[in-house]
Amino acid sequence: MKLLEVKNLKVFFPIKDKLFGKPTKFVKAVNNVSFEVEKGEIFSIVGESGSGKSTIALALMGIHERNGGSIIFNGAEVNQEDFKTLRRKIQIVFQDPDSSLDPRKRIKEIIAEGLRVHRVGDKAFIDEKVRDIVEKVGLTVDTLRKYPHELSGGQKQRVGIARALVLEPELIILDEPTASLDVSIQAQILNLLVDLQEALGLTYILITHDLKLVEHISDRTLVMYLGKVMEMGETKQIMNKPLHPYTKALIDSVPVPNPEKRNENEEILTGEIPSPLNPPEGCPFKTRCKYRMELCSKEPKSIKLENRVVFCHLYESKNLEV
Amino acid sequence: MKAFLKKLLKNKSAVTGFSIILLNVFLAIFAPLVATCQFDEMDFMYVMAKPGEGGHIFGTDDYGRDIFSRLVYGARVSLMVGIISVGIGAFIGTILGIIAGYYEGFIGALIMRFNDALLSFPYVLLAIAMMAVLGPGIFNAMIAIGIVMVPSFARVIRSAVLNVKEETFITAAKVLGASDFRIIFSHILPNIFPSLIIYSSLNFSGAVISEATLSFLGLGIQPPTPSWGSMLSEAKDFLQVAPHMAIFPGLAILVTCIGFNLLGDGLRDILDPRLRK
Ligand SMILES: Nc1ncnc2c1ncn2[C@@H]1O[C@H](COP(=O)(O)OP(=O)(O)OP(=O)(O)O)[C@@H](O)[C@H]1O
Ligand SMILES: [Mg+2]
Repeated sequence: MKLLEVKNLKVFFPIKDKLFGKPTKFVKAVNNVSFEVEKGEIFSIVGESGSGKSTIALALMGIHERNGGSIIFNGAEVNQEDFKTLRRKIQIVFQDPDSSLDPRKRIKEIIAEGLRVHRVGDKAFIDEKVRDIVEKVGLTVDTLRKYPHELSGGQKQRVGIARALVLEPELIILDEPTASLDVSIQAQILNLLVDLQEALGLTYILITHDLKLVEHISDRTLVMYLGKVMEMGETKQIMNKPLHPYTKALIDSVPVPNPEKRNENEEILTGEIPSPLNPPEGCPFKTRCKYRMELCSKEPKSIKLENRVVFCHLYESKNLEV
Repeated sequence: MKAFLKKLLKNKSAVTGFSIILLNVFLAIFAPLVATCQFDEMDFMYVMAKPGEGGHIFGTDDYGRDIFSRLVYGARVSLMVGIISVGIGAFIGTILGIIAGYYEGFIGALIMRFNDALLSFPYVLLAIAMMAVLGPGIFNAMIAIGIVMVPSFARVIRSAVLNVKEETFITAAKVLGASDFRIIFSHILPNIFPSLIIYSSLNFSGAVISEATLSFLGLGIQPPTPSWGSMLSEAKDFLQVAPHMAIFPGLAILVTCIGFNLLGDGLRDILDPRLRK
């Protein structure tokens, strides 16, 4: 069953002209992105920094305004006035637990905020609920009296998870949930997230640039580059046989324990990401792509191939194998 | 509240600052009991007497009035000017600063343009212009001084709001569905409070001095009622012959400012959970 459908999502940020305050240019942070998330799955969005992953998350919550496209949640189209209810059903766990918890609030207030905002239950109910959640995420009840600075990074991230869980959302967006944690803590937080998913029947959108992590836990993957979709499909298939040159380069660029063992035909990403203010015409990856052809200056179409979607001119005639 | 007082008592700078201000308030309230003379009583035997002469511990001024007694009475005006005008400036400035910082768009730009225009005038000139509209008198002076402070408060608060607004916990609150009202009062205000307190305590001396300038121009307190600022400005013609006429009101202003700054510092630390033991 489809939980979420995103169709042709566009989010453009205006760059203001200092003198007159009129936008003269736009950063097309998310440009025509479509995907679907099945109930109960872990759907990954991967891509380098600045590719628009977090912007998608915030646009889904109505925090960034859409410049186009539609969001369908549980079969119903989401309009601007629906975000208040959507902000119960979808929640986000943020990357940096240091800045995502208000330093002046006790943990109890931080976790309870969602319940207060949505006026769920009385004081006794809230107390009970908060205690319950805090134990579910593996913290002790006496943590509730503390302030964020008294906790370790891993504990803070557990608080971030508890805050997202307290409203009993159906979908949780994990925006780099472990990227700012010590390696030893990362595994604990991941295990917690996987356990919670199973126990509560949650659906996750996992935003990350950690391909190892994606391969490890996610069902399907969307690969983004400069605001556009490059490739989307089952994680296993994508990892085993990437179709898009960008996906291939991304996978080959994952650090390996022994660099000398790298294959001859591996393509490590070289060159800079073009400025998002001035993205290349047509396929955004063409400036770094070794299969570049004249056609690439045209917008690639969405091609359904081998059970996935790929945006690359190479496959338009399907006669070239990569 | 009890816990708050306990923490206040444990914080050295807060206690020192609080004591200084309390002493000032005490002097202001009980001025008739503390003062050795009337504030307008002239001792013709001892005009511009040095400290200690003729029983005047801080000496006398050019009319032979007891400086200690005038300082004690002056505390009434100066404290009131300081507190009320800083209060007005901080209150309106915070509201404008929050609106300009939180709603950056058209309203924010409008407020800040207006602000910049006001800031480009000299402080005192603006106060004088205000007084021309409001008419003379000490309460009008407080209002004028307070309003003149608004733009600088608004600017400081706005930049503090802009900083806090970038924090992920604000986005997190939005994601939870929190209203702007809730975000402003529950997250932004507590986090900009330190800037507000520090800036208020810094502005206290400015307010006292502005009152002196207005009084000097005959727009604030009417002589012979003393204020620290007016005593200071009267003293400036006698700096060579009677420096004590300037030293004591200057010290009074200085000590009170230090008191407010210490209390401000202490409060900031008490209110910051990160600094609690
Ligand atoms: N509020 C904003 N105003 C203007 N530009 C923005 C804003 N937020 C993001 N951008 C721009 O949009 C683009 C996409 O940003 P986004 O944060 O979504 O990337 P990301 O994929 O999440 O990157 P990262 O991996 O670094 O988190 C970037 O070029 C960024 O500079
Ligand atoms: Mg991001």
